[in-house]
Amino acid sequence: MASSLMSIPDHLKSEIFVRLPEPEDLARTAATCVTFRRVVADGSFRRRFRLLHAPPLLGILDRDGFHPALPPHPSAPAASALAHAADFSLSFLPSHRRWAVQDVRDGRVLHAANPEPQVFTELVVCDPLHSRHILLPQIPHDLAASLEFPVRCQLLIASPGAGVNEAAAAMEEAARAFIVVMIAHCETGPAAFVFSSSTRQWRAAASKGWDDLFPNQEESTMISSMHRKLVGCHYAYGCFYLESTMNKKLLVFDTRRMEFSSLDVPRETSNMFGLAIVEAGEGRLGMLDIHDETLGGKCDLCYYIRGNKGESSSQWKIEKTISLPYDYQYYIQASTERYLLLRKLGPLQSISSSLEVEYVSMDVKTLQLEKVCGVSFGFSLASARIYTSFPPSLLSAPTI
Amino acid sequence: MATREAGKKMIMLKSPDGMEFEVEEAVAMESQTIRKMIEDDCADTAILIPNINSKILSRVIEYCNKHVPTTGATGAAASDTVAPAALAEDLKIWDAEFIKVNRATRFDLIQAASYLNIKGLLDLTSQTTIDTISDNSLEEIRSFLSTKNDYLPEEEQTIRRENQWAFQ
Repeated sequence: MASSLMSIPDHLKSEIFVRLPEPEDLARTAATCVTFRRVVADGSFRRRFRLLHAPPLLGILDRDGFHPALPPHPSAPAASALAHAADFSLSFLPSHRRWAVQDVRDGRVLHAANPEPQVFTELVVCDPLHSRHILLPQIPHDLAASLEFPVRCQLLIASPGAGVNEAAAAMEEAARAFIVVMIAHCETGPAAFVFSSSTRQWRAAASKGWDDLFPNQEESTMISSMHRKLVGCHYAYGCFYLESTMNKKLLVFDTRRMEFSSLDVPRETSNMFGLAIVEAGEGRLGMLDIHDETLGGKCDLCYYIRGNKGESSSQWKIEKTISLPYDYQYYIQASTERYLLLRKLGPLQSISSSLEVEYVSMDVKTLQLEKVCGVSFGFSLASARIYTSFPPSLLSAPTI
Repeated sequence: MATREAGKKMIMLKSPDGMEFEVEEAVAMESQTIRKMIEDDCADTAILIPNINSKILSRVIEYCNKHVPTTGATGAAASDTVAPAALAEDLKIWDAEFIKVNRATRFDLIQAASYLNIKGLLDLTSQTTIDTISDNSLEEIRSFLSTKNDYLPEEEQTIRRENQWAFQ
């Protein structure tokens, strides 16, 4: 009979501990006794935990640097530990160019040497917590030669999917694997190039014509939409979702199948204050949109979920409507697979006097709105992104 | 799953303390370990389950009986007319009752679920233990899990300092 958790074998203890919901729980478990620490400190256990849990939101990264989540945000203690341990000033980079953040995901930051990157702009991937970086080689000229007048380039970073049951060595490598995707918006259509950290090479992944992607749309709207400087981008289940001014459609790039497609958004969405794509669980896509019934009055945050293909409903369905406090203006700033970041301005009548912008996060699992921090109103707003990471020490491991 | 005739195939499970349990093959195959034995033709008509006493084995069979997919004619409650959501809700309530056991039994069930590779049962039994860890203080965790603090004072200081964010 096993009357204590101590008397069951270690592999079963890890079976239990890997289900702990938050990194805090794991750290406390490790502190209870020497045996538990041994289980938790094991390399393969930690890799498994990291694969099964999305790292928590610890703050905001914009062109001014890192803004940690402040109390009473639940991540505040871990965020402060990260702010102390990490080097967001990038002093570890060899050359002191003015690097501009392009994308942030899974603790990795993708920078370009030019805020308006072109096809051959220098790129670097950093892990600020471990002061590591990898300079990316340029796209080979013969690969890019086929591009017809790229109007602009969007640069994105992601982790390739990894199975939980892979061998330890493969998992170790998988934890450090990343891909960088360059989407060049050309006159005839989008083209994608993918850099893989495992092959250390770029390849031409996909291209498609605007007419195929968005039939029955006038070409002029197409191009002008892609000329827009700020096109929001979201990532869920291995796919990038790019916003456009295209009516009710998103441009999708699937990093597993390496192909472009388009996705209809719910008919009711206004997309006036931005929209976001998140992972709703069980492979289903979630979408968030701010609905302003009265224009300037009361706003609702609407959460839609789309059933998987093959299920009876592969349509968007409203899952939940969350009332946003009256008198404030909210915008959707950014999203990750698990989190939504809102920008809150107001109260509306004092907007001219108050130059503070508040960031509010929402965990898709709990749908709770929580203040992250406040920043002063300025040019950095446009570049603000969610920074997620496991807190330093017990669980953190280099991501590149 | 293979098509099943009206006469269901039965399997004999034996516990090390000499008890025998006759169960439907489909029920036994809720265990991936037993499924593999059957599929690899390693199972005759009786399978000895080592390390799991009759008291625990009977509870495991009870769980599998309840959780075997009811799409076919498996003898479980006819569910054709019940909506899947209602069925899932019913299972949840049943699970909550099922896991109301003392700590020793729960740990035995965890070991059995792991050996027999029954994911749902392992999730259920582990979750109950997890709930005693989440959001509790070190002292409470130690008391819930009957562990003793065997750290040297300076060791405990170090681990607390390194992961200070977890203790605020």
